[in-house]
Amino acid sequence: MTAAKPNWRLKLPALVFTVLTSASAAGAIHHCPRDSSMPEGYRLENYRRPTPHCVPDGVTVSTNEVVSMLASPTPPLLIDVWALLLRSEPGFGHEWLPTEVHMSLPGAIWLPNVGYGVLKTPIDQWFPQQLDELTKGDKERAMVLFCVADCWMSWNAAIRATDLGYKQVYWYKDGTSGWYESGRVLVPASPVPIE
Amino acid sequence: MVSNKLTSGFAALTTGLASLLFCACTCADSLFDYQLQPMQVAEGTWVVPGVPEDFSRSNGGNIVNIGFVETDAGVVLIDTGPSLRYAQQLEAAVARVTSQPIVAAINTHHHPDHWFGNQHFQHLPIYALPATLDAMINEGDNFADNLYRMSGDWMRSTEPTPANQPLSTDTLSIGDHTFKLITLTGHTVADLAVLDTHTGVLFAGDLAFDQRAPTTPHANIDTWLAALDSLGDIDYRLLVPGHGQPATDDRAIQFTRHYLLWLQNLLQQSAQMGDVPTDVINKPIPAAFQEASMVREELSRSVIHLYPRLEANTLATHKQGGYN
Repeated sequence: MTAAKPNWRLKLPALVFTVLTSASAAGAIHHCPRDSSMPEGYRLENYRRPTPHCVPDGVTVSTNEVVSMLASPTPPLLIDVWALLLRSEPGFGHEWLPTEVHMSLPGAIWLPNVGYGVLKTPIDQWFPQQLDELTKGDKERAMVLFCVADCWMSWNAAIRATDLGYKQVYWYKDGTSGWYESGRVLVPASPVPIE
Repeated sequence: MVSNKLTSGFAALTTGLASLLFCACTCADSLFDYQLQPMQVAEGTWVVPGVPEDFSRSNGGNIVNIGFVETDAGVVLIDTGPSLRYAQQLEAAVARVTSQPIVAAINTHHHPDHWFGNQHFQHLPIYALPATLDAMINEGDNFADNLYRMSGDWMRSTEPTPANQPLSTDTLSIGDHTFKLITLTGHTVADLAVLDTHTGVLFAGDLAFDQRAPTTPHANIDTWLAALDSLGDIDYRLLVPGHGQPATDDRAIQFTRHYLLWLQNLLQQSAQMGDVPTDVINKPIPAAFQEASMVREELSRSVIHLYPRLEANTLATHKQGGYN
């Protein structure tokens, strides 16, 4: 019984690869050892900078690969992690304070601030809860994490989702910038409120 | 006459540039194209003009004059621009007007619009004053955070890359050109003016602005005014300011001096009167500067940069006068 679990986990990357290649997504990066371009854990500062070419434990995908996945019978969740100012007053709950319109992929769910290096209250509880609700508890549900290009927050968030036990985590490295650059449409997004 | 032709051509180019940049945001095939247009200002000498604005997602940080000089040993860049994309496009723009390769760059000071293109030329010698080099290392990360925030995806793949050759001499010879290196201070901790003795072109960096309000985040107005006097003593044939039009006369020095004197007086008098910063930000702009760009914006910033210390000094004087 106990031996079956690691075996099954080992098979998973191959399975994911098959699904992707069948959707003509040959460029995805599955194997990503940590190298000198990456911190040991999460990136803790200077979140807007060039990012590594891949993310450990997740699958790195390009715009075309995201498009293919969205066209498949089981499209992934699109999770935008672009950061926002959060107002938290004791006794008054939490409120996002957007300063400008944020444009994201059509159908994306915007979970701000879940890609910081250290998650503070309430985000540390909120992110796992949101993922649990969005996936309906299905750890096999595919999800694409992104923000803009050169944004370590999506890199962090992809690792964090993997750490939370999700098995099909995709990092869309170029994010909304890559989507826009490819001539595709971005739409105004609203952050998911913190109840 | 030559100077009038030069400057009006420059103005037309700058206006044209603004409209092209606007277009760049609407047509997908020209995304992130800075539309760099080198303008020849002297024999073997070009200036690539920026717009008289602050960093934004419409201009991508192309707000600065970048110069380049063709020597018989290759091209020397005077500053490298605000981003990696800019530097790549600058290299292409240089190649359109000369067959000489770029062989070196000089950074005039540590403000990021002048050196965030270094990354693309890091295999070449990039010269800067030692204090400039230190400031690049210390402040590069803050600058990068700010530029990503203001210029957005124009910054793609840009890593702050400080200069690699500290300058310790008064001259730098490259090919048949000898550059006189004039070490000054006031706009920042270290401001390098570069005189090409071959052509008489003086690259003044941001010690000189023309028709665009000077920026003061690291300024010391007293030493800046002294630096302007030093620039005025130099025998040049054309002065290229860091921002604004190149000219054969000293208009950029005069503009910068008048602006700084006005700013200094305004801040000192306001502090004496006990005005709060928001009052000072809203003071009337003199007629002499009403045609210039960014005056209200830079006044607001200068109040934030420079006013707290003046207020504290004034308070200290009052206390000595018996209020204590």
